[in-house]
Amino acid sequence: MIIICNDEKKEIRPGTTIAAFLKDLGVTPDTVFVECNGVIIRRDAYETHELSEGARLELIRFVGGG
Amino acid sequence: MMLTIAGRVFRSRLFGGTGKFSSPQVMKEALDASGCEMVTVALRRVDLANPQDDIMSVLDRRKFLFLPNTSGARDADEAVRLARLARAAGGGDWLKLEVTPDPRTLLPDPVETLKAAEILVRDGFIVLPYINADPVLALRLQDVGVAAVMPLGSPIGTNQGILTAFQISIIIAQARVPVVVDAGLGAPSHAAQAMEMGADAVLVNTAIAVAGDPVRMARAFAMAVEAGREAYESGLGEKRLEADASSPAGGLDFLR
Repeated sequence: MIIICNDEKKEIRPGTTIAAFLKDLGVTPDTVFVECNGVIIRRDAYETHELSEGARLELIRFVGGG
Repeated sequence: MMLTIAGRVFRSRLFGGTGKFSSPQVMKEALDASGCEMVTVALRRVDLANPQDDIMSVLDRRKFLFLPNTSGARDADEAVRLARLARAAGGGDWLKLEVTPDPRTLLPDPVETLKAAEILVRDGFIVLPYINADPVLALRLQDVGVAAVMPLGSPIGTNQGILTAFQISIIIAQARVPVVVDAGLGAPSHAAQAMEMGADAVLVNTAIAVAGDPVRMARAFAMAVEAGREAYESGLGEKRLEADASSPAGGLDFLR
């Protein structure tokens, strides 16, 4: 099934959790902040929150800046 | 005397930025060499083409206080949204508020900055606003409860030094909160100048990050900040128009 992550279409297996999705991307969950359909997802829910068809994810993190 | 902002004591009066470094490792080594205890970070989307690029994995949060910025915000609404996201992302309550609508100059919008500061202070943020060196605005921001003011020496990333010395002197003279000179400090001498003028701290990013050797440049800035502060606390001699001999004027009778 398809979800939208940072405006890009991504193919995932049904039942994929946020934690599994981040792992597939190679992103460390500890330093990434996830908004799903406009709602901030608590970090302790990454393991249990399953992504649904068409979900819109925003992955945000701290980057270098002045 | 040590610097205190919002009840937190800082031993170093040099604050660092984390942008523009050639690698996370160079950034870490430079920040370690600088001795700084507070560093700015920005909030952005994860780059899906390069998802492992992660500065947070090299920075020790027990060592550095993170000061998330609202860079990229063009008005108060965007700044407030970024601030709240930064807090939700675990960035804490400290915030460098910056609202820069014009990408060419990156000069801060005073009206939107004041508007955002009012909202964010009410929200419980510890707000450090980046401002043009405007003494009236600095007072207005203090009235709404900001924790410090951060007037610019010159525009971000220009390395031009302190082009706003006169206004910064007034801001310092009137300040009820710490004054952190931010932006445009391109050489350690510029940082020393700010500290000699009585600034409480300086924030340096570009000049360290783009140096040929960022680690040594970080050390140079640390020494300059310390020297400038030491000079300020020692009490500088007054500038004079006429010469005033350092050697005794008398005792030359044997010559004449």
